[in-house]
Amino acid sequence: MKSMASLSEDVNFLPIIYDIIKSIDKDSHDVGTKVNEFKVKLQKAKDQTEKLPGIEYSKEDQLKQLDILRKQLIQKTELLQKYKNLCNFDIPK
Amino acid sequence: MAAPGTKQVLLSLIEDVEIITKELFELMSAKKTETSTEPVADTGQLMELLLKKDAEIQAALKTATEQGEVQKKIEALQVEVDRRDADILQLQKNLKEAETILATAIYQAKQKLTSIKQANQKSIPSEELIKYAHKISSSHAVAAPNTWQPGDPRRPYPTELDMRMGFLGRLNNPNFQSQPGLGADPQLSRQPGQLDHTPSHAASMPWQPPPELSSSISMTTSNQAAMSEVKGLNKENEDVEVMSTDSSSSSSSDESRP
Repeated sequence: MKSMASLSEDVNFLPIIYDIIKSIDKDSHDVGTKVNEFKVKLQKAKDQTEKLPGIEYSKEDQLKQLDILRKQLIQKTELLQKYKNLCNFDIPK
Repeated sequence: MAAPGTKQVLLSLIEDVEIITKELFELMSAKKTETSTEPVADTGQLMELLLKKDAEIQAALKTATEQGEVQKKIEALQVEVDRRDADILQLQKNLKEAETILATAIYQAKQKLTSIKQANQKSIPSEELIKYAHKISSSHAVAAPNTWQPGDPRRPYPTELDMRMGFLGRLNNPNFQSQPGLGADPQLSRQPGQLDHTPSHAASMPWQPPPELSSSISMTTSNQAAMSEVKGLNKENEDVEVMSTDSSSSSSSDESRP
């Protein structure tokens, strides 16, 4: 969740964009520096997004996967129970 | 077609923000140098678009946070499923092993049942076996008596009657010879009279003592001196061959020899 909080901070672009617009309006000399900072922030946001776990699929697909796994677990647990309760052996004739 | 993943959506939105801001900065810089009023509208549209994209990013981030939680559940479930898989595999392996052991046991048990069935079909009363054992033991048919000495009328080998009742004696029986496989063997189907003329086969016909031996036995009861003479000539050779049909008899003959 630390990476999620960091990403939330990194994708908050509006304050820096506002800052750059103000600098452009004022013909400030640090526009270039701020634009570079903005580019760095953008790149950082991209990197953080790449590292974020569990977002390779859409939420719907992920929920489907969760459902499939739950069903698999139930089936396998039942199979194990069936094996453990097995008391009759078919004797080959 | 599957919906794009949240990661793809987020990256795409960040790219959009990058493009829009670049456009916006360029427009604003151009507005500063030129005095045209036209770009102002574009700047407003771009800002609206930028705000819209920011809202979309925030929504995608919220989805990503939820997906992070779901991912934790998926990982926990996957661990459980893997554990169940390992348990099932181990159990299947054990069951297979048990099946092999049981199959072997069943095969052996079936063989034993077949043997029991065969034994039941050809049952011999134990009393009869004991009776026969007593008979051959009392007549010294299998071993010489401990006190046997040359000249003792008790013979340390099967009597003629015993031999006739045995397997070799029954070869003379025509019914027995007619059985397939046995009658075909020339060695087995040979008549005792034929063998009497071939000294090399004397050992295979022990129930037909040569005439010399028969006469010596009959003489034993009447004339002790004559018996020892005959024994000196024939019995040592012939008796050894006769008794060699049974290992116990041959050993007893060795014991009885002075």
